[in-house]
This record gives sequence, structure tokens and C-alpha cells, in this order.
Amino acid sequence: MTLLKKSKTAVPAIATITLIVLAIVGFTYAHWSETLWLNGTVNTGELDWEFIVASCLDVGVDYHCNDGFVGIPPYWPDPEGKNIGWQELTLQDSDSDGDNDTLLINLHNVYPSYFTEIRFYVHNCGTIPLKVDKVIFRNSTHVVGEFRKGVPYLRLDLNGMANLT
Amino acid sequence: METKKLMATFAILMIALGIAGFAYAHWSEYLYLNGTVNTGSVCVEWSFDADLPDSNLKDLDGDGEVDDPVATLNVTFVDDDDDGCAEGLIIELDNVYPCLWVNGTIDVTNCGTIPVGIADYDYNISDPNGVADGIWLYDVNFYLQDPTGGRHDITMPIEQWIAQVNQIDPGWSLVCEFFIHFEEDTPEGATATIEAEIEFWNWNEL
Repeated sequence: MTLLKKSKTAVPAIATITLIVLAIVGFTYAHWSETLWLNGTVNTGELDWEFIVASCLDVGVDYHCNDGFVGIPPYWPDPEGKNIGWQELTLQDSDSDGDNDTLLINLHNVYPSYFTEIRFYVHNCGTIPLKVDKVIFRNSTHVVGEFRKGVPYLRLDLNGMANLT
Repeated sequence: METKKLMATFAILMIALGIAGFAYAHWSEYLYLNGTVNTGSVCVEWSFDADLPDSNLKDLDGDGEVDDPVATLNVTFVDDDDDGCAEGLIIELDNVYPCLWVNGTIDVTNCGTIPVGIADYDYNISDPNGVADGIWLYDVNFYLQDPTGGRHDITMPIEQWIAQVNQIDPGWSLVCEFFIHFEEDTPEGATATIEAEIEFWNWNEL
């Protein structure tokens, strides 16, 4: 009878204590919370352009001009149809990024008052707009001219320089 | 003798019935108590508002209208638990270029019913090409905004505010106002990412 009385009171007491302990533990670990998350990405653009088409005036018959392009017309085809000088235009991808960043112009067997014209198209293959800041003429050792505006005429002294890059 | 026995039995029966009657037919009155506990809620959500400058617009499609953005800013809010509040924020800034600036605000609003505070935060940055080196945090300010839109500047460093104050009341927002500029040395064709988490608790347990 004593054991029965003890057990009758002990069981609820243990259960109560357990609940209280659990409540306290739960209170400690089960604070209310909410988590915010953020994913941020920055992708930078690319400034890139390339030569896509290059052509020249002299595709057969040579052209001539006066010194300093004086007179009208400024240049004319050889009246006898001679084909003495010629050009070789090569598009090159110097940094192997898939874009032709170099136009190599080789003038072969040219002579005083030989005239030709090189035309090329450039294509913006980057992801942002670009503006042409200046045109730089260089030979293999140094800059021979820079132009920021106007039509860039450059007088090239070809003595000893068969290749211009 | 039989009569006495019968009367005794009757008397005992009456007493027994009386006792039983007393047990079941006592007078009584009950008191009633109805208790209701409505718990509050911890709820926070992101807000984000930013602009790119007008100089970012160009006529890229050649239609004569200068209305095509070069760099783009895309913001996506994610409501993970469908409670109507955005727990997730995805920000994508694409095609960034030197001298681009971005200004705006990013804020956390307490959309619950009890004050909250920052319990923990963590972030991970992946920036193999050094994009962050080209970002100039020109101006970054933190302030609290009350439900009427009133601004309450936080005059101490945000780390100190978290350590000492760290309370956003219901309806209030913790706002970060920023103005960033991409410098000339921002690398081309690069990607930088940041993943961040901020854990909020009910303020009284912080």
C-alpha cells in the first residue's frame, strides 16, 4: 500500500519535473529565429574589338599620285595598266582570343608616287560600347604618329623600311 | 423478531441510501476559466532599391532611342516559406565597366510582431580576379526607418550597434544606403560572387 501510494505520487512528479526540464531546455534552444540569405553576383564587361574586313585600292593596276596629293584628281590609275607594286593584307589574332586584333599590311615593290588605299572595318566584339580615342602609327621601334581628330595623313619615309607594323 | 429484523434492514437501507444520496446530490457551483495564448511571430524580409545612372543608357539597337542599358541590374526576391515575406535576395549586376556607379538601399524590415535582432551573420566571397579591388565604397550609411518612413541615423559603427543596440522593432527597417563606384582598375570579363546569411532572433534572447 505504501509502495502504491509512493508510485502514485512519484510518477506524476517525475513527469512534471521532466516537462519542466524539457520546457526549460526547449526555451533555451528553441528561440524563434529567421534567416535571411543573399546571393550577389557582379559580372564585369569586356572592351574588345577586331578587324573583320580589309581591302585595298590596288588589286591589279597600280595607282599614282603627286607628291603631297596635290592636284586633281589626287590619284589615278597607271595609264599603261602596269602592275608593279602590290599589297598583302593579313588579319592576325596576336593574343589567341579569337579576335583579329592586328592588321598586317605589307607593301611589296612599291616606288615613289605609288599610291594605294587600305580600307578596313572594325567590329565591336566586346560587351560595352567603345569610342576610338586615337590612331597610333608605329614602326618596329617607336611611335611615328598619333592622331586624335581629322583625317590621319602620315608621310612615311620608306628608306630602309620595307615593312611597317 | 422478524419484524425487528425487517425494520433494521430497512433502517440500514435508508441510511445507506441517505449516504449515497448525500454523495450524489450535494450542492455545487462551478467556476470557469478560459485562457488563450496568442504567440507573436519573428519575421524579417529583404527590400532592395538601386539605380544605374542615365549615362548607362545607349542606343545599342540603333532605333534612335537612347534607352538601352549597357550594364544591367537584376534583383529577385525569394519567398522560401510562402509567408509573403522575402527571405532570399538575388542581385545580379552584369556587364559592369569602369566608372559605372550604383546607388541605392538594401534593407531588412521586421514584418513580424515582436522586436528582432541580429544573432549571427556569415558571408563568403568568391573573387578570383579581384573585382572587389576595383569597387570604391564611396558612401555607406546605416539607419533605422520607422513605419512612417522617418529616418533615424545610426551614429555608431554598425558592428557597435549590433553589439550594443541590435533591435529592430515591428514595422521598422534597418537600412543600408550605399553609393559604389567601379574604378578604372576593375578587371575585364571577371566574375565576383558573395553569399551571405543573417540570422535574426527575438530581441530578448540576444
